[in-house]
Amino acid sequence: MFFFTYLARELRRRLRQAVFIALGLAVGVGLVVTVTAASAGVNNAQNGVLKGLYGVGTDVTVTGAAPSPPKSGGNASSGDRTSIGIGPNGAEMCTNGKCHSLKNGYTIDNLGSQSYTPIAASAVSKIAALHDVTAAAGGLLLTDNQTTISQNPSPPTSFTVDGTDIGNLKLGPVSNAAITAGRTFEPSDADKNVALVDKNYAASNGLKSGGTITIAGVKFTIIGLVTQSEGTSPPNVYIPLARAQALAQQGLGGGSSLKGDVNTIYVTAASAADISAVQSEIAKILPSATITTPSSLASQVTGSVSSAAKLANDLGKWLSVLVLIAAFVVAVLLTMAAVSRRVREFGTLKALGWRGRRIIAQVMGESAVVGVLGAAIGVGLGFAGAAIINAIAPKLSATLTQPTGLHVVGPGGSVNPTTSHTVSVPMSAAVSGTAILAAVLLAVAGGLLAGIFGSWRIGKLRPADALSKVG
Amino acid sequence: MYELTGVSKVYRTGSRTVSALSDVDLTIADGEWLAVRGRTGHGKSTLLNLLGGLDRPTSGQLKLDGRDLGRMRDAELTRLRATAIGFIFQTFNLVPTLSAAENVAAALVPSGTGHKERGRRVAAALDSVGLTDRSRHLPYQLSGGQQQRVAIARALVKEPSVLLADEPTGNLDEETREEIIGLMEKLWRERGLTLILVSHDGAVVRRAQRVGVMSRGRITFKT
Repeated sequence: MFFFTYLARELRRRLRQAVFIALGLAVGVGLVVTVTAASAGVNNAQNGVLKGLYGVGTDVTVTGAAPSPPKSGGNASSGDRTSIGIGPNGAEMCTNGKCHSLKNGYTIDNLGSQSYTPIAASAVSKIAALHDVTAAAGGLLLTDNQTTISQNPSPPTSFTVDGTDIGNLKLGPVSNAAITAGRTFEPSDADKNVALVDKNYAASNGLKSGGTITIAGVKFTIIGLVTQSEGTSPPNVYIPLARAQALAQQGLGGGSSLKGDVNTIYVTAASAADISAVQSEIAKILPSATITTPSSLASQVTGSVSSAAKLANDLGKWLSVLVLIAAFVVAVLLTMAAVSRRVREFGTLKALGWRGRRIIAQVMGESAVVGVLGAAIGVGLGFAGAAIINAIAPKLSATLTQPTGLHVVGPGGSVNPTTSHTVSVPMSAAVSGTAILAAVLLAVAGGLLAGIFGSWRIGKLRPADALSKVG
Repeated sequence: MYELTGVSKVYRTGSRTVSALSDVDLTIADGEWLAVRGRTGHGKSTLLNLLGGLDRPTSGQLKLDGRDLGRMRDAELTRLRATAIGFIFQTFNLVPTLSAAENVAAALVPSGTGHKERGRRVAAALDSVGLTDRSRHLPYQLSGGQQQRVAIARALVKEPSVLLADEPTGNLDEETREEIIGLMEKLWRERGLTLILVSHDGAVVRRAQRVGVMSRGRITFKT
């Protein structure tokens, strides 16, 4: 084909210029690919944090409202009121005013819901029945506090316990956990004293699969160890929801039983587009509950992951656009200059009977090849950029500040303390197929744009004028 | 046959108008060799451009075989150049990146001649100018005379009825000039071409059947 022969020869003649234009486009495209990859990496990291917090597949999380501050002198709840203090005979525990002394070595073990007020478990089935909801599961996020009476008091120990709906393990924090030893929950475990323990927590507390752990004064058999994403701030222990409901109380101790209650509901929407509709439907069922969606949670995430996302989304994208525009302008100017130098050649071809369209196609073909070359180099540079980011980028930190649900009354009045989870997440810049396709299209578009500007002159070129420039 | 009646060409450069051709009446018979001489800027090249359909007259009629080139659409003029008119330039105007054979083949691209047929005709054209052994050479690897031979082969490969040559020996030494003009004369005789040649060179012009002199945009003939 004469077209390709001519094209190849012409590109070979202008090899340096062609490579220069291709490199210009490649730098622009490479930057776009790198920034896109970095942006995707940051978003993945952010999503990883969010998924870890509420489990894979959870679109909406419903939590009971933060508990009200206890009324002075009154019962914190409808149940018995228990307090522990130091009496004339040493440590004593009082229930509804009746006190008895506690011996040294006695361990007070309380499993309670400190952060959220309870939600009736029946709400879970109501939410599951909503039109845009695919699945819903209830859970109890609890804290087990253990205090041992001693003449040399030591600070109480505590660990987090998740009462897990073992009929729906695909929702909630446990969905994000992978078994490393033993087994996971089975339907027959619903009413058994069995537990899954976080591998790291188990290691630091000498626990192992097959051993036992005491929760609310009851021994639970550890049936498995789980590993969970670093960015999840995961529960330390999982127990069947029914057992958690049977053992837990509302508040720090002495509160009402949580039988028939949950304090968290994990919901999967039919589609991402349905999330806001689901949110408002749930708000009608549970007006006082806190409803959290990925977007509302993302807005609460701070730290370097958030800064990196802003950097990639704002500065990175603008920088890419500017470099791309500069590359396009350089390509256009160089192509126009090249066409100017070939006026005589094109005039001759017109004298030979070549139509303007054929000459334009020739120039456009050359520009398209340069664009494709730019795309190929640009994609390579993009991969290299992503690899460099992965090699040198520090781990990103994500901090999520959430209310503890506690109320502290001090001299300055009542405050609601918050708790911050700061997690370190690796950033993995990944070049997607879409980014590659976009890069190729951008570079080819840049090449063709240059070709169009160059061709515009050829279209206007009258053969006699072109030849008169010969000399 | 060319028939020019009252052909004028006026160029406008800003507010200035330059009359390159003034009221030219001219008939050129089929198979005739017409040489046009004259000083630079007196309209020789303008006349050649009009005859070749590279430009249009400002006024008057310019007919080739009964068709008025001034009234033809651009596409028709392009088709005419692709099939009926061959050009030879002073500076050869070869595409520098294409070999001798490819330069010649470029003239067959507009007519869509098939690959095989194109190869056959290119080989024949190069053979007719004695450059068979130089077909793969690039222009810079050829002497001036050889480059002009390639240009002649390119002009003739499409078997036109008209050959227009603008100072074809202007860039050649005396010996090569004789060689090229001899070649053109031979081809003109063999192919029955209408040859219109513009030149300053008296030695070249003398070989034509008829010599016109361009002066101030008008053409006159020695009787």
